[in-house]
Amino acid sequence: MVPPLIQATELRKEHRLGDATVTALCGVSLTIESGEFIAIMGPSGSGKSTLMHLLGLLDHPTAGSYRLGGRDVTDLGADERARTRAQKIGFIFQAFNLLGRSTAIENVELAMTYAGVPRKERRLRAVTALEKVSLGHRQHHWPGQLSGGEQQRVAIARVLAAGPGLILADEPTGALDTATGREVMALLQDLNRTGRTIVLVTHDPAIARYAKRIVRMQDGCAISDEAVVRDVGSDDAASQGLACPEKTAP
Amino acid sequence: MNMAETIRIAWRAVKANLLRSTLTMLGMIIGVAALIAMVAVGSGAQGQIDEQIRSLGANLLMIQPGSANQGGVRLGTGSRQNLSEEDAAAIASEVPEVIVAAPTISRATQIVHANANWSTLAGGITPAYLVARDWRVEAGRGFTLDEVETAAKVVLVGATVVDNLFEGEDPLGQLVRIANVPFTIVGVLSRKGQNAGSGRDQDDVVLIPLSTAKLRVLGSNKVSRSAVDFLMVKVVSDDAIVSAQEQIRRLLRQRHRLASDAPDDFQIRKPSETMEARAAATRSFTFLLAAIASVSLVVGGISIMNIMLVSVTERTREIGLRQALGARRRDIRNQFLVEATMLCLLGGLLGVIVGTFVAVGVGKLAEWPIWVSPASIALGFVFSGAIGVFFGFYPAHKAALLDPIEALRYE
Ligand SMILES: Nc1ncnc2c1ncn2[C@@H]1O[C@H](COP(=O)(O)OP(=O)(O)OP(=O)(O)O)[C@@H](O)[C@H]1O
Ligand SMILES: [Mg+2]
Repeated sequence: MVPPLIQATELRKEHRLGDATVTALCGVSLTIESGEFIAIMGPSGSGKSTLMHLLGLLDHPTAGSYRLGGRDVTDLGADERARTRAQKIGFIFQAFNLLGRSTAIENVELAMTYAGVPRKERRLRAVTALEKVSLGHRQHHWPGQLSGGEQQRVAIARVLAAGPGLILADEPTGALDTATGREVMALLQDLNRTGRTIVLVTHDPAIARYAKRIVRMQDGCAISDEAVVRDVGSDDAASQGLACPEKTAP
Repeated sequence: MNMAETIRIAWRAVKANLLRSTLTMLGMIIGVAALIAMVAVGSGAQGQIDEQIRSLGANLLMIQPGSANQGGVRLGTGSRQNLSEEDAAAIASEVPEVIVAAPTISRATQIVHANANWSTLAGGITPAYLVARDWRVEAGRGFTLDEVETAAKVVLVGATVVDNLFEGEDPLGQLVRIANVPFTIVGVLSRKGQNAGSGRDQDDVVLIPLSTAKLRVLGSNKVSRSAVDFLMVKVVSDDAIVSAQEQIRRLLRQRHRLASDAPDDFQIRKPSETMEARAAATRSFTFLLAAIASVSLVVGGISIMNIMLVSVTERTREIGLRQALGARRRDIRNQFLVEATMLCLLGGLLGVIVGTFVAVGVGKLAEWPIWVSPASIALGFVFSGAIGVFFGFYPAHKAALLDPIEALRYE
């Protein structure tokens, strides 16, 4: 049997601030199969970005374990984490996704550079990706010359070209108007159709509806996990083995 | 990520902030320029001194009659002509470090050829003189022992004399008159150029056998038939000079029967010393440049470190983004290290150019010989590269250790 792409067990993250300890994540268990499109929702400060950083191997959990593609990556060393990020994970952030002093195409190539893709191939794939997001004519523009939506599309092209299996998008439409946001979501949806797994963080229920499954968080805990039922409302969607130990423990 | 990639990224960063990069490099530019100029002036001067010492004759001591100046009073002026051919012979045979000791007399004189006439210096010498001064006979031959013993009327002429008396004519075998005595030219001396100490043209000279000089040309001596003006002594090596000097002093005091409290009635000089004194001027300038070079290189290194630290802080988000995209710590570290080194090397390159101009300019103004050696250029580059690595390491290390999350959150 193919192991799930993501298997997070009891992930917990605490921050020490002097004597106080802030719990950003209280112990989240989450299983994501390859090819899923999952939205993580919740109020500000509920731990969405924290979870995302843990899944993206940018941060270490305080407790819990994390398997990525069947491999235990909880205690991976810094270099090995960087290598995994370069090859398996693509990030799209809310803003400042691009290096200001590199052109659009160079920004697209950057992730492939760290993944060790040869120069010629990189250029080719970057051009193709930019054309896919309809920015073929803006290759040599600086990020400052692009609109917010265009910048996000460059970030999507970067993921597209590098081709990681897992895409982590933290409020990719947060800084965009509704129409532009929809364009970006359509592109993500295309990516998902080609088999990429997408984890999307958003505040916006309309955006979340592009996903096939929604996990809701509050105060560092996952409080619901349901499939999106597209034609009817989503209210009666089936619950799917979510877990927050404080609430489920006897 | 490979080096070519890293270099490309670093170059972009340097280019992106061109003005700031140039200002940052200023210390390096000045430092390397001073280094290049220092070596150019220093090695040029040293080369000139070496050349002049060589032209004078290596490992040479000159012994003159009379005492050294003491308290402004010149002592022993009465016994001016107290060095003799026998003194020379004794030095040559009794001091083991001595190769030759050449008794010599010299006078200003006139030399006439056909209608041309020229004032020059006539030297009465033995064959040992040419050995002592490493002087070659370029055309013709030197004196034979027979000619020296029989006081033959033969002469060796210096290049300047040839230039002035024989316009393109072959001087060998020609007849000239020196102090109205007819002489046959048997040889032409190789060119030596100016004497660094006195500035005198060393090629403006005619050399005749010592015996001939005494008997026929330069007049007989009041004190003794064997008296000479000075002795030129060649010693085996530079290291042997001090010991030879001491032994010669003792030998001459003994031969001149000086009481133990009497001052020397002769002086032993090292002619190269006067040149080395002249070289002190260029050397102090060299030290000044060395001081400028080392201070600016250190200041330049620190300013590069400072700018790199600022740059790391400014680019915290960029570092976070790169890390998210898969940059390893060493990729980040190399990126900043290469950037710092590149700044230093560019500074070094500009420094080499500026330094060469400065050296040539100073050389022209001060009329010093300049020698911009490839080795000094290489040294400039190695130095600036090393400074880049040394002062760039800490900022680069700091950047590499940034936590990705904190870097991404950095405003
Ligand atoms: N470095 C830190 N030090 C202390 N507390 C932190 C730190 N990072 C995050 N937190 C806390 O952890 C909690 C979760 O933060 P997180 O960024 O995951 O929220 P979020 O759900 O992404 O919010 P938003 O929707 O505003 O982005 C917050 O209460 C935050 O204050
Ligand atoms: Mg967030």
